[in-house]
Order: sequence, then C-alpha cells, then structure tokens
Amino acid sequence: MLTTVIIILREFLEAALLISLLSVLHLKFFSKKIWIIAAVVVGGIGSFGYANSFATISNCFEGNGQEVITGLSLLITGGCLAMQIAYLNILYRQPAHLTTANNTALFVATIVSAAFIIVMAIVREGAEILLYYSTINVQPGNSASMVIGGMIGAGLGVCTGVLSFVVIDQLRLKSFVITITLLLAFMAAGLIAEAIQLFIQAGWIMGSESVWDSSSLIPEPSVAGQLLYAIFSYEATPTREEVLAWLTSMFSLVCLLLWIHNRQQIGGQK
Amino acid sequence: MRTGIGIFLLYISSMLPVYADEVVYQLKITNHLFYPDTIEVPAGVRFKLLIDNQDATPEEFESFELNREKVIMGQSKTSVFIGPLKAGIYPFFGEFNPETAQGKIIASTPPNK
Repeated sequence: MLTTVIIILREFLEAALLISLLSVLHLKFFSKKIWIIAAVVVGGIGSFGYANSFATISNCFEGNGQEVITGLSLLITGGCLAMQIAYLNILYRQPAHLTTANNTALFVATIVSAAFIIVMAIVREGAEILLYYSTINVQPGNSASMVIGGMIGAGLGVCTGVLSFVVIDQLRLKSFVITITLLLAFMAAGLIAEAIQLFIQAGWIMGSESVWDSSSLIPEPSVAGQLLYAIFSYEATPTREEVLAWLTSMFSLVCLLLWIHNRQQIGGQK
Repeated sequence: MRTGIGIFLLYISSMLPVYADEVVYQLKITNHLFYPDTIEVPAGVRFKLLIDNQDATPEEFESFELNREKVIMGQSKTSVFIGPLKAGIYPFFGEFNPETAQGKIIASTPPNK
C-alpha cells in the first residue's frame, strides 16, 4: 500500500501545486471559477485518451514519442507560466488595464494559457496513474491496497494543493505577487530543464556528466526531495545542460520582469 | 552582444548528438524482474539501453541517480540514452513493481586509464 501511496502522491503533487497556484492567482483578480473546473474536467478526459493511446505515442519518433511529446508540452507549459508571471506583474501595478479593450486579448490569452497548463498537467500525471492502475487486473490480491493507497496518496496531494492555496491567499498583495512570481518562475525554469533532460534521454541532445551531487543533503526519494521536485523539478545530479536550461530560463524571466517594469515606468511618465 | 550570442549558439550546438557508433546494452523485464539485474558499463561513455518488457502489463523504468524515467507498455520494447556517467553505482527500479524490479548499473573506469 505504501508503494501506491508514494506513486500516486508523486503524480498528484505537481499537478495539485500548479492548479492551486494558478487558481489563487486568477481568483484574486477574477472571480469566475468555471474555467478552472472545465480545465480539470478536460484534463481528466484527456488523460484517459492519452493513456489509451500510450502505445501508439510511445512508438512515434523512433520510439521516443513519450520524451518528445512530454518534452514539448513542458516547454509550452514553461512559456505559458511566463505569460502568467507577466500578466500578474502587469495587473498588480495597473489593475485598471484589465477593463480596457486594449488588454482584453491579453486577459483572454492568459486565461486560455492557464487552462492549458492545468489540462497538460492533469493529462501527464493522470495518464501515468491510469497506466499504473491498468496492472490492477493482474494483481487481484493487491487490488484493495492499491485502491486504498491511491485514495490516500491522492488525498495527500489534494490537501497539499489546498493548503498552498489557503496560505498564499492570506498574503498581503505585494507579498502575494512576489510569492506567486517566484514560485511560478521556479516552476517554469524547472519544467524547461526537465524538458531538456527528456530530450537527452531520447538522444536528441548530448548529455554530460552530472555537475554536482546533492543527494547526501536532499535525497530525491525523500519527502523534501519530492516536494522540491514538484516545485522546482529538483534533481540531485543535474547535467550541465539541465543547469544551463534552468539558468537561461530564469535569466529570461528576470529580463521579462525588468522589461515590464520599464514599460510601466515609461507609461507612467507620459 | 553579438559575440556573446555567437558563443552561446556555438555552445548549444555542442549539445547536438554525434551519430558515432552507439554502445547498446539490453535489459529484459520478465515477471516484474530485471534481467540482468546488474549492467557494467565504462565510465564517461554515453550508451543506449534497450528495454524489452516481456510482461503483459506496463512497467516504468526509473532511476533517481540516472535521472531517467520511462513507461514501457506490456509486450513492447523501448530505449533510453544514459550517460556519460561518472564511476559509481546507479540503482534503477520498476516504479510499478519496486519490491521486485530492481537493478543497478555499475560504471567503472577501464583499468588502463
């Protein structure tokens, strides 16, 4: 049962944290919840479709279908998270822009990209859970423990997401903006680094030896390691390419925030 | 600025794969067990691991130390590229059956180096 708890918790954690961060961000400035619920439902349906097509997808790209499809979805998700960060920082300083016709397109694009992030997270993690449970028919003696373990793991994952939502929602506006910006930035950079690692696994990019080994400080299988993996895509032994991808992503996000700040300062002087 | 971008692009291009002769190792999954359960490889060499899941159910090849994770459907084969690895022991396991599906890769420096 413990094995099932850990497997399900790991899959739920990343999706739960993403959903809670995006929910608390958008519900702070826009009260409609329907798009979040719709995205969760679409993601759930999508995960069934993805799991059913898994064999076909795996055989694409000369057997590297999993890595390519997942890697591309992570790259796009990283870009969408950058859009969320931009939207939050534009909105925070000039909330009136939300109601102007000029930024309706930005508003709609941001909601659509947030929905995309949620759908992709649920499809990725949900499909893996479904594949795991496809083994239940051949393990009848373990089926009860697999079901109960799954419920516990899912419950823990959902509770973590809800707790994150509640804690962050209590923050004052400035702290809220800084916290969400930092968390989404770390998640975006982590997902892009994870995409690079998948392309290395597929043989599309040459990997190198690991740059450091922090497993003695924070082992990946530990609770802290798994939590850090869910937020930062933490790897105890990252390659040079993953580190470079992470740093490049963070640098790009910093440049984006500085550009937004500059534009708003120029706008304020006119 | 342009020089910096040029150097960056040159560095990125060094990550593109070189299609030299690939080193390939085979791994079989039968009755939720890995065969062989120990694979010895030379350190510092990138290699391809061909995984043949002969069971009817999917299995997930996973290793924290190797940073590799891939689901292999039942009765199917797949491959993952691993390395180059520093000398050491790298455990891997089947996430769907971790109690039984366990193995390790031992990377060692050849004695004449």
